[in-house]
This record gives sequence, structure tokens and C-alpha cells, in this order.
Amino acid sequence: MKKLVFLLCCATGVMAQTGEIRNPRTSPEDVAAGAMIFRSHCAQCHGIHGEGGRGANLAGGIFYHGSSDADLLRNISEGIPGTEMPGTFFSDNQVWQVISFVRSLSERAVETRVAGEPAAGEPLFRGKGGCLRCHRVNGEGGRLGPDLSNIGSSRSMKHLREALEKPDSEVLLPFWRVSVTDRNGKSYSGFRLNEDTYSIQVLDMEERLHSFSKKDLQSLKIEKTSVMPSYATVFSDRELGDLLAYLSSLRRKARTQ
Amino acid sequence: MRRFALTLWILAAAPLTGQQITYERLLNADREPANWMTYSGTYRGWRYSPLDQIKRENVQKLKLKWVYQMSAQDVGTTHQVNAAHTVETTPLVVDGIMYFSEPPSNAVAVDVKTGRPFWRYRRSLPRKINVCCGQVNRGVAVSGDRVYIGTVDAHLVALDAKTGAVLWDVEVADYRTGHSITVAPLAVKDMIITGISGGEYGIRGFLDAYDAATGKRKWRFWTIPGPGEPGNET
Repeated sequence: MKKLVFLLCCATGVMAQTGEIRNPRTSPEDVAAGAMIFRSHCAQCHGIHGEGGRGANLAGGIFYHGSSDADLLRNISEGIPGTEMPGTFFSDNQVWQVISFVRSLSERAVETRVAGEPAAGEPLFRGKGGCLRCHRVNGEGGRLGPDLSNIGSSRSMKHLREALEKPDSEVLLPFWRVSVTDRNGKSYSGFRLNEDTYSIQVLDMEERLHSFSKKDLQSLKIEKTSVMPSYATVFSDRELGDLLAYLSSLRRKARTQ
Repeated sequence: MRRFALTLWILAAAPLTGQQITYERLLNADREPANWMTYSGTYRGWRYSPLDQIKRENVQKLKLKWVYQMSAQDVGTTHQVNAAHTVETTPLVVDGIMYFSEPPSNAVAVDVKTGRPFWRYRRSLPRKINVCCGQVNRGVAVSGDRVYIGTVDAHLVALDAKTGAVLWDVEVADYRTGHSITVAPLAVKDMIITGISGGEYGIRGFLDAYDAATGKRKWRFWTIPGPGEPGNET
């Protein structure tokens, strides 16, 4: 009998999940209210016109973590695990207004392509640029730089160009540079994977993991600069365009819900 | 049960250099009692540790050394925390680093001495997942310099053991038909082996083996005979 009740519970759980959630706030007033919230809280990463920057381009009508109203509600309210997208503190009504505004963007999508050929950019990425020494694409490459397998869907062209020309302009937390000297005088340098008041976790340049107690260190230096050199003078304008086109083409398939 | 605490064994002062986890090491896991490199300890599946430092006479003296706070937020549902999330993981310990999973399908690497994380893989999950008995995970597998985890949306994922970066992510089965993975994968030679959940929703069960390097499926063994196979008529 217990088993029967249990199975019934399971079946009910599935059925309860099938109802579709729809955006109840889609009037022009809602779009305008959503635009206000977007400009003050979302535009910093996603761009004032949703064209993308540090955050994904939202103006193309393609949302890589789900395109349904329910997906957008969840992703804006709770953030997206494994990405830099945080959750927000807005009411559902406010989030619905933001969703209405974001959907209105794709109706007047902005051009974000560069003049360049992805096929010509890939050999530059692998060869002249030596990018795979530190960066990984779909499992191939090094681990000393960010994984770029999906970089095209999470960064705007403008942001990618800036990262190539001025790598120090924005460095992600796990890639801040750390130099430490332990109590025996031995020095390590690498990346700041994690840190708290008492300890710091480091991936050194030989790709070994260390966890240091700060009280045991003679010195600790953290620099928010990148180990990546600027590629502004390494490539010609045309090569840079090809490389950007290649980076922009690195996208995972959008999830179907 | 959102928190779990672990008192630490006294470990040999192993550097966190993270040697490669070879098949030979896994095969002879009983020779490295300070490590716990596969779900059941060794391929024998005894789940028995020969370490004898902690015994009946001194067990009452164990003290809390550190606490690791697991994620309280459930991203599988909208605007609610799913109370069905319980911790069912078996932590692996390899050369001073502990690898374990968090519900629903996250993985983490922490320093065994302090419990501080080196990295954390948080899986983005679709909204509608059919798991009969809670979105749980039993643990990860390690092989080479990679960590493997099965997910409740029925994918198998390879992560870099040093950074948690995703190396490959393959669909084992369609989660929309009731398939899910809660079991810890098993690393054998160059293969990662996983089972599947979903019997409560009438799925046909199987065991799969995937190429550890590429994620390409090597074989599938159906545990329920199909039409024309012996036993299908029963």
C-alpha cells in the first residue's frame, strides 16, 4: 500500500509540473517600466541596448539558458549557475516587466557582427596567437585562462575586442594573479581560485593546487591584472577581425526546454 | 541535512600536486588507504577502510575540524527551495583534495585540511525534471586529471580536476522521458561507466560506457531485454 501511495505521489508530481507559465505584464507601460529597471540593474553587463558586453547579448532573441517565459523568470530571479549571472531581488511583477522589455529588444536587433571570417580566425587562434596554450575550447587546450568554448554567446564583440587589446581592463576573479612566500621562504605564483579571511586557494603556473593559511605566509600579493599579453600589435586589423569572428562563433547549442 | 561536517583523518603530509589517477592506482586502491579514489573505496566494492587510527576506544574524542556549507538554493524550480534535496554523496579523497557532489548536480573540490573550495561546478538545470525521489547525487568519479559527474537531467559531464572547467558534456538519455542520473560514475581503464534512473517512470534501464577522453559512447548494455531477446516474454 505504501508503495502505491508513493507511486501516485510521483505521478502527481510530474503532472503538476506541466502547466506553462506566461508573462502577465506585457503592456507598453510594462515594457517602459522594464526598461527603467534594465538600465539601472542589467545594462552594466548586458549593455544599454541589450547588445551584450561582459554579459550575453539579449537583443538577438536567442537565450542560451532557455527562451520560455518561465526560463527567463527563473534565470533573472535566481541567476544562472555556472555563469556570472547573479540572482536579483525584484518582485515577480518587476521581473516580468524586465522580460517584456528584453523581448522588445529582439524586435529591433542591433548588428553585432564584425567583418571577419571565423574559418580564417581559427588558424590564428591555434597558431600565431598560441591561444590554446592557456585557453580551452571544447576540452582542448590549457587551463591557465578562461574556457572559451561558449565565449561567443556570453560576450559581445566589443568586449572580446577589448579583452584582446587591453587584457587588464577586466580580469575575472579566479584569474587574479597571486604571489606568495611561505614560512620556509618558498615562493609560488599563480591564480587566485578562492580566498577568505584566513586562507587562499591557488592554482600555480605549473598547474598545481595549493591551499595556504594566511598566517603561515611571509608575504601575499594579489594583482588584478591579467597574465595575458595584449594582442593589439600582434595581429593586423584584418587578422583581429578574423579572430573576433572565430571567437564569436564559439557557441554551445541553446538548451531546449 | 544541508550541511555536512567531517572530522579529518590524520593524513600524511601529501602535497596537493595531484598526481594523475591512473587505472593502476584505482586497481590497487587498497595500497593507498589515505586516499579514497573511487565510490566504494576499491573495485572490490567493500567500502572498507583498513585505517585503524580511529577506533572504538578513541572515537568519542573526535572533534569538528571544519564545515562546508552546501548550496541551499534549488535552481530546478522557480522561486522555491526544494526540501527534497538531501546530501547522499560519498566524498573522494585524492592526494589532499576532496571531491564530492552537492544536490542537485553540482561538484566541488576542497582542501581536505580546511574544507575551503578550490572550485565549484554548478549545473544549470531545466525546469521540469522527473526524479522520483529527490534531486540527489551519490558522488563523482576521478580518472587522469578529470572529475566525472552524472546529472539529474541525464547528462554525463567531464570536469577539469584543477579548475572545474567543463571538458565535455554528453546527453546519456532524454530527461523529458523520465531518465535521470543520480548514481556515481565508475572509472575503469579509459572508460566512464554509468547507470540510469527512471524505472518509476517506465524507462528501459541500461549501463553505458563512455570514452573518458572524448565522451563518445563505447557501449550500452540493456538491463531489460528488448523484443526478440531472451526473457522479453516474461
